[in-house]
Amino acid sequence: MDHFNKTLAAHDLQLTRRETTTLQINVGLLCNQTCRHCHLDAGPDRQQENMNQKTAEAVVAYAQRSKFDTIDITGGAPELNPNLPYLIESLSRISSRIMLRSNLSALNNGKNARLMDLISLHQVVIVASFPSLDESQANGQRGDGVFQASIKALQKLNSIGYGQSGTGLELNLVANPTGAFLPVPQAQSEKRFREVLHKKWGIEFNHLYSFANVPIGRFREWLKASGNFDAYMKKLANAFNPCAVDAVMCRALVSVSWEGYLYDCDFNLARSIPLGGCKRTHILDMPGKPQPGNPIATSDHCYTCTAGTGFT
Amino acid sequence: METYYNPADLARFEEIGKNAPDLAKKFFDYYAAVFADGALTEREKSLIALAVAHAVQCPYCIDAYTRACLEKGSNLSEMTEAVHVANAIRGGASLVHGVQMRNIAEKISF
Repeated sequence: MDHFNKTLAAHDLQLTRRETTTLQINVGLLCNQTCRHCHLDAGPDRQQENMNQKTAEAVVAYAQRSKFDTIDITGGAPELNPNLPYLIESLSRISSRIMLRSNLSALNNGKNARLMDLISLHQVVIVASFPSLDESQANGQRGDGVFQASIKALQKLNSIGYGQSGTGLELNLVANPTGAFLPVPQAQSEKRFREVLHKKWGIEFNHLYSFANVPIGRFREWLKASGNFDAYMKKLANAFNPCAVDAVMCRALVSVSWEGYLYDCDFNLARSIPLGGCKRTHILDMPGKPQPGNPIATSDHCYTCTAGTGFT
Repeated sequence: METYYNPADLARFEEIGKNAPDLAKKFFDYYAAVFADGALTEREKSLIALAVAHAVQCPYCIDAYTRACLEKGSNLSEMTEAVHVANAIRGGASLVHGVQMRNIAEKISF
């Protein structure tokens, strides 16, 4: 039994599925950025690890037979996958809510005018990475120039209606710490980001989510190399909140990799821990949604989602 | 080499209550209330605490409030300015006493 499961048992808790309402699609590890906190070690050199047309079609077929309420498209930078327009067009006919996780710089790079039209047409919810209001902190995490590129992208999204009331075009931000410390409480952070982004750059958004950095992938390597690993893991474990377990996202989400294999979440995907901790399952062999009550595979990184108010 | 300051001692702060639990409880309850969101935000209070930590030169407090400032959403520019505020007050406190020096010198000089 892993350390996290022992903690659950000590609180008389079990981590099992409820009804799975969200299909998260990780279209690949190709990204134009090499963020220091990335749990997938994504970057420009991962050209081959990108979902192909055949797998994209299999994903759409799986979504069709499973009827998910929400589709959550992530990467890497999903904008760099040539099958993204196909996925958006096909899946928006199946599910009522399509979310696209964007690093902003890949979305507004001057080559994606058609994609901007497409997301707006299908009312795709944009979930944009925006870690800090401070340029040096943001660039330190995400790379030189990313902060200004992100500001321009948010202004562009605002200009086509995103984040503006009455348009139905939802723009949400994700802020995560720029190092080995816990995130700002979400409500405080949202209030401050709203004030500062409006005052300095005239930017509007709908919601802000605070997420902790997950100690896997590139971030785990950095934690170890910088001597922060043990203290960070202890910090996450000490912040364990039993009340957060009920709402963790893996209870209602299933994640599919660029190759078409299923996982309990994007973090288990990054660590190759298959759905339910069992044998790897491909979507072609999956009849429908995972069943309520099924166990969820856990490891030490699960403390990230149960720290403080949780990571939902 | 042994030193008087050990970073691990910060986590043992609550042990101070072992021989005077009632006083410790009063202090820690008050401490928590002071740092809660009020007319000032938790972020602003952490920046003040960081500045005071430098003024009183407490390594435990500098460690704790550097982390707290980052976790409340402050950045290194804001934190550095807070330390300069502490420095200005400390330096100013020394310098303004120069007026006392001048008063005394003028009083006893021709």
